[in-house]
Amino acid sequence: MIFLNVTLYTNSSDKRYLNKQLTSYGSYSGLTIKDNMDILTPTFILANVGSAANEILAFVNYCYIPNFQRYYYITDKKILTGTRVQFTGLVDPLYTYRSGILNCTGTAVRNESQAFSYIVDEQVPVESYLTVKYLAIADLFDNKTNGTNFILNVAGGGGK
Amino acid sequence: MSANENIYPITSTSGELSYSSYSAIQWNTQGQMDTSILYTRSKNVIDIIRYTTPEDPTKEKPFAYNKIGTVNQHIFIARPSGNATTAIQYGYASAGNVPFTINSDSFLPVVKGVIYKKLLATIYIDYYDTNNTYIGRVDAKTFFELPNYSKMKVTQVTTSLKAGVESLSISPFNCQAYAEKYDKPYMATAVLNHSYKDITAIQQNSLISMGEVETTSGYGIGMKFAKYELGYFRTRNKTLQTYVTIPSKAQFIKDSSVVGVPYTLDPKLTVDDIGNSPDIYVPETDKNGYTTGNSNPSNSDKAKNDPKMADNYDPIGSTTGTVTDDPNATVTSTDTDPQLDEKIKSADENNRLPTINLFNRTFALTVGEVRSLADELWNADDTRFEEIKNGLALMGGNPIQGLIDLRLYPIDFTKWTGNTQKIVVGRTSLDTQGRLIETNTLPQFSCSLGTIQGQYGNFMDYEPFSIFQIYLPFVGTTDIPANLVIGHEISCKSSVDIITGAISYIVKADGYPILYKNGTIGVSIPMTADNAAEYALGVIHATNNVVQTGADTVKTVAKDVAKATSVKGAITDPSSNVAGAVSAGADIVAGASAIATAGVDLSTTVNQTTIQQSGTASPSNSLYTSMSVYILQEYHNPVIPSNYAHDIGIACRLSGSVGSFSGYTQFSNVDLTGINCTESERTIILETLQNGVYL
Repeated sequence: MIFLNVTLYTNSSDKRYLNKQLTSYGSYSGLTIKDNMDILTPTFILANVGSAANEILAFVNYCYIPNFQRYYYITDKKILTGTRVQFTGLVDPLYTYRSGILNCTGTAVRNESQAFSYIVDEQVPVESYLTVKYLAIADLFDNKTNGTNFILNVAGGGGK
Repeated sequence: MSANENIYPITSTSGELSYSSYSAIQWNTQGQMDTSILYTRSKNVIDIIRYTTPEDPTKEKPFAYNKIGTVNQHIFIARPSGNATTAIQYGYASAGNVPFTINSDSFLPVVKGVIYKKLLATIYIDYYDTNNTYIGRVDAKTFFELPNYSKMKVTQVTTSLKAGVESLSISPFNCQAYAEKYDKPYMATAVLNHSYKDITAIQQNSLISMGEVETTSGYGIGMKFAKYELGYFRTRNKTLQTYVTIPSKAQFIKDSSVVGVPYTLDPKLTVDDIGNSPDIYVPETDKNGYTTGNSNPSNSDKAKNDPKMADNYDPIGSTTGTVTDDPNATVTSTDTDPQLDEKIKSADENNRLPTINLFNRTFALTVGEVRSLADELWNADDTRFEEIKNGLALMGGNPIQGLIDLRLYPIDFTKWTGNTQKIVVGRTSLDTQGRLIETNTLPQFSCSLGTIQGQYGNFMDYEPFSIFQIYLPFVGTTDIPANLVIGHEISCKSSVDIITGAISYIVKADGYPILYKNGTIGVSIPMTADNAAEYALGVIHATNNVVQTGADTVKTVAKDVAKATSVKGAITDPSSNVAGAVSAGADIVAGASAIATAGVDLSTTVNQTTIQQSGTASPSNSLYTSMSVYILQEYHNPVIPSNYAHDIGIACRLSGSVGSFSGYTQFSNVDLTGINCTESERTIILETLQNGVYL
């Protein structure tokens, strides 16, 4: 039987945050694996948690297993006989590999810190109706006042 | 004419930098309204003072290019002698000295010039401190070899400092002069860009003298004209004052004329005037302005313009001087006509054929004169009537046939007329007087709408979020693509055909025609029963959907006009026909004038309204609409939640490490090389980054 170590946390951050806000609930040893384990979604049993059982059941939702060097969301918790607690985990690769991810290069298509530019943002909601704004005006005819406003074309007399 | 006569230099033929010109330039920045006023401080100094509203960093458009102005100079150079270090020192570049007082973060001054044939040019920037003390110079030597210029583009940048000055903190890599465009057969455009990514302390508040160009070797530099475009790029915009100093006349004109010295000549001088000068050998140019390698035919010594006569004649294909290849330089070959821009801009100029007074006479009349004419024609005694009939024998003797057309315009034609004279119908001179329109009259009107800026300064100003329209009097509104409007100076020119009543518009953006439209401005005034009925019918139909107040007047008169069903009726009751229509027309003009005077409140924003028109308005009805040209933008207002950026992010296209971004970010792709995880985990990471992650 393999005995593992685990550090229990409460994670208050959204799953999409690269960095997590974690509150530690202590480290434990003696973690045993239940059945055949998938390293990405392991199910393990923590024995002899003693008086911390209630607190663990109530608040812990995140853990780190140093033997696997991975952080896990705790997706399911069960109380077993003999003050044992069973956890089901789901790997959090974002936080696990955060240092490496920050150094990776890529192209951002949306970012919180930018201002609207000439790149079309198709997600911007717009009003259905059109608003009209006059941008510039200029008078074209500079001499439209009443005067010789009539043009008379008469027969004859041309050619001079 | 001799070379040492007073010949005034031509500093501008475009009007932008002429000695007495006044111009306003609106800077093309986003979110700001900049106004620059160009005026003459003295004969040789032109100031450009710029007023800028506070910066809105969220609407900053990086590297906006600001064109200060264009200088056109007529310079003739036969050929340089030896190392012609002064060949174009004054004639070409000194006119473009552009001292910049730098108070902003980052800009890129630019000088563009046209160079013919082969040239090894040095373009340099001199630096001065705040006390106007010379600090140092950055040179950019550029080698242009023409006409076989497929590969030559050389940049050599050196920096020299005044003794005692340790550093200018300028990376030579930031200074580059390169051939931006080659053209056939012997022309290149030299561009000097000198970028300031970060202004150092020594550069702040310093004075930069820019634009000097001199040849250090070469031959056959002949210029039909030199054209500079002065301007700069900017990434940040704060208070910035620039001024352009035009060197004094003494710097242009030499006391003695020798080969290799530039001469700046009055453009009004004919080629013969120049060519007959004993000391000036003017290069012969073809019809496109290119030098041919010969001198002007009127000059006897043509051989003096033979490039091979140069002391250091260097066959094309070899290099002269110390030159190195610039890996960053670019050359673009093109067959574009070098004067294409000017040709397009002036395409509508000087196209004037006579249409007036060819076979008939055309008079401009006041409303009183029209009434007098009607009275004279219809109330004439029998003798007078017969006289008119006899004079119109060619037309069948019907007096009304002598009056070809009478039209009303919202234009006072006085300035296009000659002296007042008696109106002649056929061969009979009447007592009524009018002003004879001059033969080649084509009344033209133009206006500038300034540089148009959009509402938002971002993608919302373009289709499909926005629609730009231009209203042209007597035509109506027409859509214009946003990219032809935003950031461009829109101008409008119209021509009025006074014979047919047609009006034609050319709308231009930065001088380039972008829209042609035609309409009818002249209101045909009925003089016979037949065309009176047509007129009335048209007015009645058209007035159903236009301004009612004025239309009522027209209707009333038109009904009276329509009552006349015969020539006899028209003759016996002129007051209800011609005079009535004339009176209605005069009312229309008065109403139109009032509308035009009232103008349009530019600050008005009309919600839930679009400018529409339907049907075809008659010219008379159009007199009730705006006489002004205006541009409007119809746009969809964005409704952006306050947490939009945090929840959804702003569209961008930025590359960099993931760690260089902060806040909500979506990536199109990220290279996850270096992360030692399972493929399942890699997929999760990539999908999370693509769907949006908070960093």
